[in-house]
Amino acid sequence: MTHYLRALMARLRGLFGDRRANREFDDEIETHLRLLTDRYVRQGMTEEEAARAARRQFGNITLLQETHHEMCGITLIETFTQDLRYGARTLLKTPGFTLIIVITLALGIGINTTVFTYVNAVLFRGLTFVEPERVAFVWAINPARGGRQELVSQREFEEWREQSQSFETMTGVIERARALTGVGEPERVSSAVVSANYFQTLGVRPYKGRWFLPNEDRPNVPRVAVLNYNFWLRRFGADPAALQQTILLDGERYTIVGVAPQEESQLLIKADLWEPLILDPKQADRNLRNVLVIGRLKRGITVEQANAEMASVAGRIARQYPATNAGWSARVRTAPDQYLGAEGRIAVAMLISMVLCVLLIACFNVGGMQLARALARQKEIAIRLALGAGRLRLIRQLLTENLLIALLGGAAGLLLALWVMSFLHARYAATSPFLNQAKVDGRVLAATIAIALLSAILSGLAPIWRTTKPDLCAALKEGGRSLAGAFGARIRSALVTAEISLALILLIVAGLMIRSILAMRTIEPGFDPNNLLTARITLPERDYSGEQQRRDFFARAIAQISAQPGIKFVGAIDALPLVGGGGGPTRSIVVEGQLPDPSGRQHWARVNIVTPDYFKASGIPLLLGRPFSAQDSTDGHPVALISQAMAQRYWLNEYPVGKRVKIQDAPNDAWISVIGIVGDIRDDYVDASPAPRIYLLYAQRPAHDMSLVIRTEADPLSVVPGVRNAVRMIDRNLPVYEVRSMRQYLFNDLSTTYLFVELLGAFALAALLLSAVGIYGVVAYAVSQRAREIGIRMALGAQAGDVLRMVVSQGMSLTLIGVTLGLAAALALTRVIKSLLFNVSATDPATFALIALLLVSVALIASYIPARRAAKIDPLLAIHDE
Amino acid sequence: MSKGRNAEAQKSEVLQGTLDLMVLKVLDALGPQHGYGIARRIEQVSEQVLQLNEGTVYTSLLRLQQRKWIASEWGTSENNRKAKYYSITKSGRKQLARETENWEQIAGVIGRLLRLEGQE
Repeated sequence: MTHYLRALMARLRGLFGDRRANREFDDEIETHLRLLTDRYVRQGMTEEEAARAARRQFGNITLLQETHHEMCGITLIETFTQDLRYGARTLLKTPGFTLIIVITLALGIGINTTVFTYVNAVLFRGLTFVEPERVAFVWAINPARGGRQELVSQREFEEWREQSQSFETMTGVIERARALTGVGEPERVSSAVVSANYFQTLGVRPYKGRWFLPNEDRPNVPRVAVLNYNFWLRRFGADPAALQQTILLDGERYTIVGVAPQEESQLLIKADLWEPLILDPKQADRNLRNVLVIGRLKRGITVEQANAEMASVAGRIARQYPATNAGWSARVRTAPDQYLGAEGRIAVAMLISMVLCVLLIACFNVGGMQLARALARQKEIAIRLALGAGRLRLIRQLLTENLLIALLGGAAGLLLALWVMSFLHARYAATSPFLNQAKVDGRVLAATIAIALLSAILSGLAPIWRTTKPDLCAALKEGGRSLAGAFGARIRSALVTAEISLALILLIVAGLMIRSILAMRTIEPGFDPNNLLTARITLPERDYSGEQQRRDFFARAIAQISAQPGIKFVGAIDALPLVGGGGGPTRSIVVEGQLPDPSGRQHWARVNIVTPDYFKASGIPLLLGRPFSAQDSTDGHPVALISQAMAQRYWLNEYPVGKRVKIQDAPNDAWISVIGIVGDIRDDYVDASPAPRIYLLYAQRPAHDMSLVIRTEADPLSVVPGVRNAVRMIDRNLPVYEVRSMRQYLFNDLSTTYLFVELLGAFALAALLLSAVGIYGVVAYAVSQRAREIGIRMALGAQAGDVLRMVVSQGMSLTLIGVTLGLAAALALTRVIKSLLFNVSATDPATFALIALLLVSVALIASYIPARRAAKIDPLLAIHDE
Repeated sequence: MSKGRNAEAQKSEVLQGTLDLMVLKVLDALGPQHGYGIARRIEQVSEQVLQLNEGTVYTSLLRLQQRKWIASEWGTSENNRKAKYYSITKSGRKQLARETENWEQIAGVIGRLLRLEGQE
């Protein structure tokens, strides 16, 4: 038994390179030699002579040891370590060359890692609740109103929930702002009012406590609330005793029963706390659309099926309630689709293709360099082959060398990626929340390693294969170098041409995107975003239940703020333009004298509530008629200002002033008269067609929730303390929140796009750099190959200028071919990103021409440097050189 | 060059096989021995005709060990040093018998052949 165990142990040891066996064998030999020596000594020799004689008798000890070692089986690991060490030595012999290769690879790999991390965050980690592809948003859409995704009324939500079959659970969400009191400082909090099954629909578990019970969204049940993790941290110091505490929201008592998990992406909706949606049976207003509907699809039901079903459900409701729901349909979109969107998908696909292109360019470069080096070692390899080295063994060793390069390049690339990401995080963290989720996790790491290995080995494979082909005679001959050299040069030229084409495409795409984003920055929003401060105030129902109270508050607030130094105009609006996400709810309207379309398409408009000075504050011009005045008091006739788009839509050939409309959600069903027309504002960054708008007077419609719009003389943020003071003097408990300059708002909205463009710019630059290095490499190599030829030419009378021209033209001819191919490809490919571009054509000739010129100039420089060296060649030295 | 190489290979193979046989026989006849002892015995039996480098015995021993025809054990030598003692195994004895029979057959045939030639 022990015999077998011992044999097994010996075998295992053998796997890892058994040094013990070697030592034991050495002992054996030692003993034998000793015995031999003793024998000779007994025969009369001296110790020294005996030892020598013993050795002679024994034979070649080293050979014996090696044979023994080999026969015991050289392990895979041992050969591998051998190869690694040899490879490391070889690489260290040419440090400059190795460095360039590693840096090139690092660049390509690093950029890939960065992009993969972000894509990973967006695609895979973005939605971390259970089976995100089954969670869907159900939107109401009305083609007559622009076909945008819209919310539904409470009644509709109930009906959808009852009548739909495609969903396991359906839940509704209303976002409300509430005043939190009863625990320290009063604060304005955002509340997500959700059906009891909201969290079950998502499939997440609470961090502490519990979610809502099924009956807790009925009326007359004690109210409960669930806190957001970060809110709990901030307000309650993460105190577990916060559970079961009572808080007051807008004066009503709520008991805290749970805390949501920290990972915000798990919850879909961002809010400070969640409270149950108590459907008010009296809330029969079907025009009040404030419910967001989310559902979990039943297993086996596809999005298309759900879509079709919801559309028919909506159709039924439309027939039942034609006055309010005619023309409305429904649309189902899964959560991943919703967050990524069609444009998001294109953007991600584009990013990944570009990044892989850069990597490809890097690989081509490295491949070319490896080829050059392999050819330089041709002689060494040929000799080794001739002496009997196994070809496979040699290939394995060269591959191991490549592996080493891959590891170095990969590690360096990873470091580069981490550095780039920390830089981007520092710059954009505040405004792009998804960046926080962008971490280098297992998936990204695995991708990086795979890419590193693949690129290094691919770029090294061709040279290895080529140089270990046993055409030894040619290689060993003196002039044999030039034959292989010519072949190498052809491959490298092809590679570089491909590189240049790829680089051109990348640069053009980046160029188009950059122009697009610059155009977005300078869009005409319809108002003047400079020196504009915004601040939001919500009057709690409890203290401001009366209309006059609210009117008084804002009148006083505006007066107080206007009195401050540095302030030009103060106005207020219920929903900020552009950055408020479309600014203002859409409402159905009735236009006096115009019947709605017989096909059921209704008249509609976006409705805003403003104070008289709003237009002066925001810089929206009055085009016709008169502005709001003091006499338009609450007892006066209801009046409104309309936007130009509204006038053109409903009164194209008529004079709109004096016309009347009715808004269908109005508490009083009175006709409203148009008193003037103001300029349009943009609803969207990309979509240029403005919606028809009606501006109602605050005094006639005093709302609770308004945003102050303050035009300042200098930096908007400088007046913030004054504004807060003014409000505090009127009502000490009233929070002023979302205080931002308009410019900041615009930047925040666009920041993800800026980030995207900065990344693109980085890629394009990397591509340019790599191509330049590639061209330089090819030309320099050609020069070294043709050194003799150049020497002869110069000896025969060629001038430095001739040599220069000859060498540069070689590089340039490659470039021109590459550029031509690249332009053709770019023309074909850029139409794919057309939907991402703003104000720039996908085949914008200016961009194309400029980039082509840039590339050609860079190529010129890259060719010129080795050309200059060529021109300085001493003809005598060149001819004598081997 | 290739022809010469084959002849070399053949010669070394024959020599290898012969040496292996001799080692087996020695172990069979004398019982467990260490490498030195085996080398001495072979030298003795061949009566100085066979002049081989004694180290080659170890190559032979390793081959025989790998084919499981001999086994090894550590012990102490005459001069109180650590030495590996080899002994023949059952399968080794079987192999020895096979090879001996083979040799005697060949020797018989060649002997008859040579006597035949002598007669002519």
